[in-house]
Amino acid sequence: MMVPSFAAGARLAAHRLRDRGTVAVVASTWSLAAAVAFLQSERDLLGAPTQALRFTTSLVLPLAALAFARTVVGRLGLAELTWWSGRLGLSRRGVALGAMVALLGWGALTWATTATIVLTGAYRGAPGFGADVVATLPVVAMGGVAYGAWFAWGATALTRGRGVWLMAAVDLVLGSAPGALSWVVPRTHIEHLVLGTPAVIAAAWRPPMSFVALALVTAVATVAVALRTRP
Amino acid sequence: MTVELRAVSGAARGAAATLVELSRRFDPGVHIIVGRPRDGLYLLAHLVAGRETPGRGEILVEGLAPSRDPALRRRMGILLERPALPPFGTVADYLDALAVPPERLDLWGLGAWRDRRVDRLDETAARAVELLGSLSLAEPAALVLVEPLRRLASIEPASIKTAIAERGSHVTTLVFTSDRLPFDDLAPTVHRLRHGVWHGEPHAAPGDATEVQWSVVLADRQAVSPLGAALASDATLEAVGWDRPRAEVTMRARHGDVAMAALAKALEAAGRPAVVSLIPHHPRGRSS
Repeated sequence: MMVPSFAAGARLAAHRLRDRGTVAVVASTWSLAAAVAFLQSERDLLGAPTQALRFTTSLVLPLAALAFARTVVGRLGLAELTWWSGRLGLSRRGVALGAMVALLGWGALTWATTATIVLTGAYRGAPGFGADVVATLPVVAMGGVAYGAWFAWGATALTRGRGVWLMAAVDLVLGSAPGALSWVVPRTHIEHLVLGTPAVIAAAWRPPMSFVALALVTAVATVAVALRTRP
Repeated sequence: MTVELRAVSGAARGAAATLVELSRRFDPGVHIIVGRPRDGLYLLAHLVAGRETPGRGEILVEGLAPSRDPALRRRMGILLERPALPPFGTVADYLDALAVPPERLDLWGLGAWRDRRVDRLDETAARAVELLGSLSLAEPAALVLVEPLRRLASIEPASIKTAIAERGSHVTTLVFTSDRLPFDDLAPTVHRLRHGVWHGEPHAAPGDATEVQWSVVLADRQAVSPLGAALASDATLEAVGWDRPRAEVTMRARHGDVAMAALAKALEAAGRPAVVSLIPHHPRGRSS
């Protein structure tokens, strides 16, 4: 039963993402990313890739991830969204997880393509582009996955899926707060991976650990979604 | 094919409705559960349908918990107050997923909807499709129908009642409604839910009933509340209300003699207040 439920969930997410709103979000994300990369490279060619990536991954892409989560969940919340499947004998949990995985995949793809656009615009053919793309894409794709999971978790909280706003606020507040609390949100680790060690992370905290932390955030959010949706 | 509630308690998220220690066994037949949303009517429907899990106690359909058993839910006909169709596919796809032949649409004159996308149906059409699917299941474990005669597009109430009566002859059919009268000719068992608890024992709805409403005008306003409270505690009455400034108590009952018997008892309990007049209102006849 789990496989058809999972497939139905993925189909549900794909169906809901296939709308004009998603096209608008992707188009504006890419446009904004390209504009930022271009402007940064005009100001400072050497620092342009890092600065443009910083702006994109800390503001533009999290907003895009939030918009995708809202598109998939709508004003229903994951529990409400999956009730129809419960009526058809499918596992609501399986459907929710299928929808979540589709959301994560879409998030990873959008983040990776946006990062490629940013780097292309920031480097403008300067050497080091290829190596930076190879180093950045896995990190950024992981960021897209972690943010997708983070917001999917939020979609199971509060009524009508309003938990995604709560998760956005938590990410914003804790991500810029000092101390160990900031380690639980994706923002801290993405900044760490893109920019190097920010002040909020201990000096001994190496980038691979942030990559693992993002994977952990994803795993915890997935388990939370599974626990918060009924069979 | 029984539905059993065992000391079920629960509260709806974001709503005032609460259910308190509800126990009851529903055997095959048509059961009308009468109440209002704030009495926990929809909450109880959601719990029996398996959409929600009770805070305490358990609900069993054929001995299994519907909230934990997708295979059981697949065999339950469910129509809640809001439609819940898949967000993709056509009406025919939906019926196919329920193993209901799409030709069933023709029975209710909905054949033209066969290839319509379900996400394009308005609420009344979506409820109609859900109801048709629910009433057409091959071997349903139970039927849970919230207001099956309301907010439905293009279907004659008589056709729906015929289908409910057919199913109800051998399947436990729970109809959740705020108005019992339209279902009286199905000779159902009536269960009344008030403030989250059962109000009185289940009773048979009189097939030839004509509901009556009486206003009792009292000489003394002070006597209104005691009389109103005494009538409100009488399970044989359908509804009781009172208006102290107008010194008036209103009661609704299934029969005139039921109303008079209840009034006599309540007058006794309230210390025999002086009645100025007893005004009958236009009876509410059966709607079909």
